[in-house]
Amino acid sequence: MSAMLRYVTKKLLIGAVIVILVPTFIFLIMQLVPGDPITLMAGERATRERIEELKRTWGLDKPAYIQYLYWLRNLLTGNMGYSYIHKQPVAYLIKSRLFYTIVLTLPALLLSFIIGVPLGVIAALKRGKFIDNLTEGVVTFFYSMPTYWLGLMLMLIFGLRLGWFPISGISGAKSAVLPILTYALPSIATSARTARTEMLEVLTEDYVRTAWAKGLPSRKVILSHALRNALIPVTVMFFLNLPWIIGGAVIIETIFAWPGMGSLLYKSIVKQDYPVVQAIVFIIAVLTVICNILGDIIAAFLDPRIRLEQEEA
Amino acid sequence: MGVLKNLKSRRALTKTQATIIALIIIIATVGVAVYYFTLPPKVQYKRTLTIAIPEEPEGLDIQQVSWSNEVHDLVFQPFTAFNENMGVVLDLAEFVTMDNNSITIKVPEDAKFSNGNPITAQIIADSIERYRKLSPYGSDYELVKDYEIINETTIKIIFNGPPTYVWYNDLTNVYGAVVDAKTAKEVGDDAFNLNPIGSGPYKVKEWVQGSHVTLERNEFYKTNLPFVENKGPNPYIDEIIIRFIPEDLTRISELEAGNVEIVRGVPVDAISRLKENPDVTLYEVLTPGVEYIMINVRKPPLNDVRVRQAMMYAIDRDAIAVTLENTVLPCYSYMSPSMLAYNASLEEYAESMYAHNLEKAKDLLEEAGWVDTNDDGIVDKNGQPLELELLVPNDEPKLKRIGPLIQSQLAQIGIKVNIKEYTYDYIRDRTRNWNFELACRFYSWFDPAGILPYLLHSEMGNYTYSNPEVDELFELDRTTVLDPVERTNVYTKIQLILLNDTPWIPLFINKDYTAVRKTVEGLHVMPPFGTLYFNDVKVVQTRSYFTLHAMLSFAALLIPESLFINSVKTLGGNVEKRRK
Amino acid sequence: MLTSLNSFRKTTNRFMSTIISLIRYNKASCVGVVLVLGIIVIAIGAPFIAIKHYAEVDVANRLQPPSLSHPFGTDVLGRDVFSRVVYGARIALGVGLLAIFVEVFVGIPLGIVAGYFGGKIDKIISALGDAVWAFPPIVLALGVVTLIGPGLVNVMIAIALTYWPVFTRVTRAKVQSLINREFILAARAIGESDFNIMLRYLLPNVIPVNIVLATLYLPAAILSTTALSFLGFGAQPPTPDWGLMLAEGASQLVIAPWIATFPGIFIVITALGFNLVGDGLRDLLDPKLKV
Repeated sequence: MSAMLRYVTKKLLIGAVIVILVPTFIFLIMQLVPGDPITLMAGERATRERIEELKRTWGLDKPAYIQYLYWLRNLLTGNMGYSYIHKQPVAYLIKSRLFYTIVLTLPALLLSFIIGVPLGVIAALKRGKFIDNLTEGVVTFFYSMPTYWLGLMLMLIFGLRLGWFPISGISGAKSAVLPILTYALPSIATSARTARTEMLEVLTEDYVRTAWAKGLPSRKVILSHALRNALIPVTVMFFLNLPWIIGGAVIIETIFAWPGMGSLLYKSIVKQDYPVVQAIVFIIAVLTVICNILGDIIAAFLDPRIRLEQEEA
Repeated sequence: MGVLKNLKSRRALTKTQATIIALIIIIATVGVAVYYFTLPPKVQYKRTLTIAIPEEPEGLDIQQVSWSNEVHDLVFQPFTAFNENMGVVLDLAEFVTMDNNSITIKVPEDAKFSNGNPITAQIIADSIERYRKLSPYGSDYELVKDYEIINETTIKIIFNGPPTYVWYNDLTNVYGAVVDAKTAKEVGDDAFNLNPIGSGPYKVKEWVQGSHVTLERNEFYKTNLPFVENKGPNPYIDEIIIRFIPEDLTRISELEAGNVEIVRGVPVDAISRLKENPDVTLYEVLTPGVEYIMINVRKPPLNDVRVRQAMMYAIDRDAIAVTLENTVLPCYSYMSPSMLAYNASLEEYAESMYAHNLEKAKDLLEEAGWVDTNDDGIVDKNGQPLELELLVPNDEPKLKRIGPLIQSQLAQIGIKVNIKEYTYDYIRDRTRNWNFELACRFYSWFDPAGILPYLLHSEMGNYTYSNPEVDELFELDRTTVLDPVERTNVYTKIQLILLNDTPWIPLFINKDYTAVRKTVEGLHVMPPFGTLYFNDVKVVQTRSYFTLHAMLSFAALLIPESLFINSVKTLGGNVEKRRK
Repeated sequence: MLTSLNSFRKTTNRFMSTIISLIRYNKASCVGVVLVLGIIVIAIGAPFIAIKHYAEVDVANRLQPPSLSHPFGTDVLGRDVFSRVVYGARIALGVGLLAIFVEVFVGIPLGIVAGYFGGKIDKIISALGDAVWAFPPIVLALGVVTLIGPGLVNVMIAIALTYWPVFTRVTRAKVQSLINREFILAARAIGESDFNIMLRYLLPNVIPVNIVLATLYLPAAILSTTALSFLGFGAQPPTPDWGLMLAEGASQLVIAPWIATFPGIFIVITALGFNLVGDGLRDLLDPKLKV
């Protein structure tokens, strides 16, 4: 266990570095982009002196490294900063929108594994037969489709023409169906593909063939050995995709007028509201590090070979 | 009957059985339909009204935002307003007057904010001072010297010069509305930005970030507007929900589905469809502003006025209007008919001067030394081709759409235009920094004094264009009290100079469309911005099974039914064959 | 001279036989090959296949439904949608190729270096790759494009920079499995320099894997580029990029569905084709490839 502990600690340290580096990188990028949110925001009738005054009030006239240090200090004290555009604390903005994004992406992610993985496994088992071809066809089709096209089509057909679901906005559980579907269908496709690939690979491994040759009932072989091994990368993928649930639904949120973090992130990047961008990026980075470590731990738990690898490292 | 037995054993139904089943289904369907459609309509009023707008406001406190929208129009109440003829009428104020250096405002004795606090002269003064401190447009009041509180409800604002600017640009709209400065001080500016207190007909109930704002009726609301019948709170509409839907298609779909009663910012493509929609009324307002291409007059080759004028001649504004389905008005001068001090004959003159003429454009370019020497379709001079970069805003649909059109029109006189799309804010920023060649821009404000100097005056605007004559004329309007006729003369003179100098290529005047479902009665849509007044509004609601939705669902039911009937018939047919 | 001609012939033969085995492999990859070849043919032959120039504006004939003179109809400015879609194939393929090109020049060397040297270098490169991979590609590309400005080339670079960690990771794994083989040990024993080993011995062996990866990620690159064009950051008008056409046609979806539908169909067809080919290639060459 101590080897595991050492491994995790090392990863955490690297993770901490990444977590600081990434928003710093974003900060640099945003500094290099010309203009700042105040100048961008101020309308026609604002005089130049007025804009300069406002910049001073917001501390935007200070040199970049001082702004950065302020941000860093704030972060360490738990203050995520202040949005220039919305004039609200960033934490407040994120809090009010986080729920809506998670309501959208988490069910989609879950669906993608609950439906996708079994689909992929079955396709692998019945390789070459009709089911496999059909699944492959449908899956590849959804995999090749642009999200926004799918979203628009769903909205037009099921929202406008048939009126089965609300077209946009948040108005109860029904309104989440189309956005979740738009997000889930390509994800299901991806999971199915991966699951199928992994399953296929495991099925051709020597030890599986040996078990078959030995004459163990095939079902037992498949379920206990092959599935377990195939699921390892799949589980790891689940954890790797988890951080994406924060910012991943940008286009879907725009189309369906869904007030989540994705649309907030997009809007903030475009309007150069750096505190918001940095805060969201920071959260994604933290989540990624945590999920990566979790993924590794679970993989080690499930597969002793990986455990050894980690101890060696 | 043997039907059930047959169904269970999965044998084909006999022909009679099939027919009987089909008949039962048909009769049932018809019966239900007749019942639903012959029920008498019951008129009720819907107590909530929903408006869909394209963009979420930065904040709800009018004194902290750089652009205003429907939420602010409902939460705050200006002292005066414009009627259909752009004449100034009373709104909150009971009495207003202005002289050479002061404005006097008197509010009604019982005037209150939505939280019950009284609107006093002192609070008006505090509110103005707060605006000066917080708003990006605080410099509106830069001439204010002092306040004289004549009595509890009357205030005299004393200026260092003529107060006409504030009279037109602040008192008449929501930016100059009085806010509860006392409460703002108590709760802090951030909290006030989430839940501001004004004296408008509705107050903020809830703001769900990124989704909508819910407003509820302000029971203390009172107005002196002459064009509305109801001068108090509207008893029919308890709540107004304002939803932010940035995607055009989504916004219109919601209107067509009946989920939303009013849509602002109707996109070009939906106009003809909505015009033919029997459930929707389309209101058209000519924007008090102009959309144009700003030229960097200091950067060669654009510093040659002939090149600029050539472009004026090359642009075919009628083709632009046609492409935009005539939702815009071609414009050759620098102002819009919805603005104060507008001169229609000046626009006529400008049009005759710069009517679309490719030959003249090419001649001007030749005069300036630009000829196509190497026959590649692009004119050149000293070996350099005439290539220009045009900044097009990707968040302004109409300008974005005609970008390629302008590109091809200028290509016809040999100018190669490269389009770069950015957000409008960014483009504005670049033009302010003189870092551009051609840029699509627009303005929207009803008083030329409140906008044109910020774009064309050497110092106040500080863009690339600078002409001391024009500066003088702007300052004249700002520092002297002129009557409307004199003002019109001043701006006519300014535009004559501009027409020669060509710092801009005016393109068109935008028409703003508001789509309203016919269930909404009593709505007032007023110039100059098409502001909505809900004082007399009632929203009629008929029982739901008469809606299109119900009919469509019904149709959806009929389809599987007919399929069933078909299959039943076929089954019956099989039986026939077997018997034979 | 002869040797290079020979190797050229060899490569072409290998290439042709790969294609043939793909076609034979199963129906799916056969369809994929057909689609991909079809798109390539359209892209190359665009000037001959298209009816009009893609930027030719004809306001009087705008928003026409599909007809004989305009098989896919016209768009809001009267441009022929068919011609634009055809020229758009060039953009799509160009995007894919450029993106993959960048991956190759960034991802593969990094992967080889990381796998060969191991230790700290490996850790840094891997950490960097993980950090980049943490982000939804759209977000990252948005950031890069905000910095370097909009434009098709910039977007291609941005997307390419988003996907390189995959190539690095896979190359690294492959290299790690190779460095203990005899021929590497032998090369070291001879005294070959590290650079030579990486260039002459490792590189040729990681190429097949990367080809498969490239075909698998090409559609993702194309889709991401169209997504960015849809958001307004990619191709600038009048470029006939399919994503841009989708964005332009989205608002007219109800009154003139042909403007957005045809580019959409072609996006799906192209992505589908490459996906099918990639799957087939992977099954044939290296079934153990973890994607």
